[in-house]
Amino acid sequence: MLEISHLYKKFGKFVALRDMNMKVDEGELFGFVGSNGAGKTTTMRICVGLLASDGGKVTINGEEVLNDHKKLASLVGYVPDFFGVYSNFTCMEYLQFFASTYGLRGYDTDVMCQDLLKLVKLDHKKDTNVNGLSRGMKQRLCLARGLVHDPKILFLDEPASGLDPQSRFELKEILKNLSSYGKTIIISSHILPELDQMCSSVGIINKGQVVLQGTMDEIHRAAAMQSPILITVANDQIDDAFAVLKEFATVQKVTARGNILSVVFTGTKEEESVLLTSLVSHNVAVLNFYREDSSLESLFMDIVSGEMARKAKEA
Amino acid sequence: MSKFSIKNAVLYKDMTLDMKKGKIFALILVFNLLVGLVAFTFLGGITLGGISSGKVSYAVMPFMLYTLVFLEYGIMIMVVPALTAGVISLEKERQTLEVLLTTRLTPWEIVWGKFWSVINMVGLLVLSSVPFLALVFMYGGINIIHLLLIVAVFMVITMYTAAMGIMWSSILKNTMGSVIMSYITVFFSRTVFLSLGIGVSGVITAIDEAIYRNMLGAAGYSYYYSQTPTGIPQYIIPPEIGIPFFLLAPECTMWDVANRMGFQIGTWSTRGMDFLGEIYPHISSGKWYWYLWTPISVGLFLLLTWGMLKISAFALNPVKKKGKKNKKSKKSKSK
Ligand SMILES: Nc1ncnc2c1ncn2[C@@H]1O[C@H](COP(=O)(O)OP(=O)(O)OP(=O)(O)O)[C@@H](O)[C@H]1O
Ligand SMILES: [Mg+2]
Repeated sequence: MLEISHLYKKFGKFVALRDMNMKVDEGELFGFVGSNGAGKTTTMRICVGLLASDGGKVTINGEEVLNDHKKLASLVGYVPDFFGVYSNFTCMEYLQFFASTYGLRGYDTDVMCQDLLKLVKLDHKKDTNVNGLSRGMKQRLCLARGLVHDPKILFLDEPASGLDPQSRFELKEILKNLSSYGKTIIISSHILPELDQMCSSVGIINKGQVVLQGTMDEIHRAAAMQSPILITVANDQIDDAFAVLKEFATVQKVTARGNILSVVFTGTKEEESVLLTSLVSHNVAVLNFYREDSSLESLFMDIVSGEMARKAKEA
Repeated sequence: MSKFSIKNAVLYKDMTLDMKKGKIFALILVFNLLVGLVAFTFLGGITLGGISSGKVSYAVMPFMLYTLVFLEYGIMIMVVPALTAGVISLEKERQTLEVLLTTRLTPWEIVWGKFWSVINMVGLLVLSSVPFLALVFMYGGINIIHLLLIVAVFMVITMYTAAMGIMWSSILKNTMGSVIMSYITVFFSRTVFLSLGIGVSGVITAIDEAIYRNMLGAAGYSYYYSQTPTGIPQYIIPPEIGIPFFLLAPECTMWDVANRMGFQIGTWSTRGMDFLGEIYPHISSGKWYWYLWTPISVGLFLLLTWGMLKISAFALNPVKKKGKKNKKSKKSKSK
């Protein structure tokens, strides 16, 4: 659906995006995660035609779209990290106006705008001035605005920032609802766990590069991989266990604390079970075998700090 | 293309918004109070003069027309920068411009919509005052076509003025700067070309006259404009060099079209801008090209208007295609 390849963006001498690659499939609710200044907004602005790139390309359904404003505009919807509202409009007028910028007008459009207001739970505020809306309501109105032309892809830049837990929850529900209709949604955030129950896939961006991308399951697995396997064995069998573990190429490092072995293991879940069976078949009494539940947040932090360390080494 | 019609979403929005605020009606009221005051002062003067002398001085009527036209012109100069300088910079400040730019609207459509919303507003003002201008009909000497022509030229100059405000509004980030630059540019464009015209023509005339009189020798001073000694060139430097500057001074165009039917004071009669021929000894009046004054300068103003609107659209375009692309392709080629 959306494919970003070798995207570059410079601001003066500062390189904001460096050979950025990302792929989002149709119908995905895609989380785009990175810390402040990672390049999320920059990427989105390039994708919606608000910023010129310095190289690379963006394709939607295989078509290069950045050079064709009208086409791009009808394919993407953008909800920026600011509101951009006309204070003297009512909610309904606001949507009607943006519909008209896409050439949509008349009875059908009015009905569509009402439906959108209903979708974002603002139908009771239809004739209220935009000024009189709360932050969360404005955010939802902007979401509705991004949908007036029924875009293929919707970009949301940090929609949850500044919202209270209740509003966040409501927004999540709305987005999940939208996603269930098959709309492709890309949503940026600072916080990986926040996207956990919502997104189907995520891409983690750091210093202008996507450093990890995958489905939510894969990310969870990656997070799990981060922490060592903890194996508790009978006191007198520590050496036996060491011997067995050494046979595995996927075992990077084994340290013992008492009768608990901490194993840094890079293999898959399946290989993990092979490891366990192998221990058992060598008559090692395994009292406990588990992997510490590593949080998504620590994975995210590890990636970001690891990247930083790598960059520091390079420099 | 349907750019001209209300189909333009920006134009549609601005028109409906302003109607809602009632701003336009307040403006129409104040504007017509001013114009009306001046018109009735004239009528009162003519009537009083008629009562005391028993004659109605029709000769005053054209001056009533000129006064009203230039009064409206002066108000337009004051009002149009204020109306235009914020149209786009305010959208920038509210951050709605970015949102507009992600819609199907192109930068040109946004600029075009803003432009016409201002032109429509001023047009409404001017049309509302036409009844006052039409008072001149009571005494004859001018026909409806001429009056419409005056309004049309007035609107072209309004466009030229509006384009300046829109250009600054597009280029600059804040409204304050845009307002200042718009007023400076508008006042500059009114004074510079007129001054240059007068200055350049004056210097040329002085040189030509000096040489001409010198050649005539002692007898030179007995000749005057009416007498042309043969065998001696009238001028060395073509005296028409100063005229193009006048062509770019909107006041001259306004005068030319308002005075198209001409007027007479004593034996001196003049018509439109051909009075330049009366002022400068080496420029002759009554030539065919004086009749093209309005069309030529209107053409120039439209061209400049179009250029400034193009600059505005370019300034708004977030992905400037031509310049960037060329640079990029050059870079990649050199690699
Ligand atoms: N117009 C600009 N001029 C100069 N530098 C810029 C500009 N826009 C962004 N940058 C820089 O590019 C980098 C990426 O910015 P970007 O806004 O994309 O980050 P982000 O991931 O959206 O961060 P945040 O979470 O804070 O919104 C930052 O270091 C920023 O300073
Ligand atoms: Mg951002």
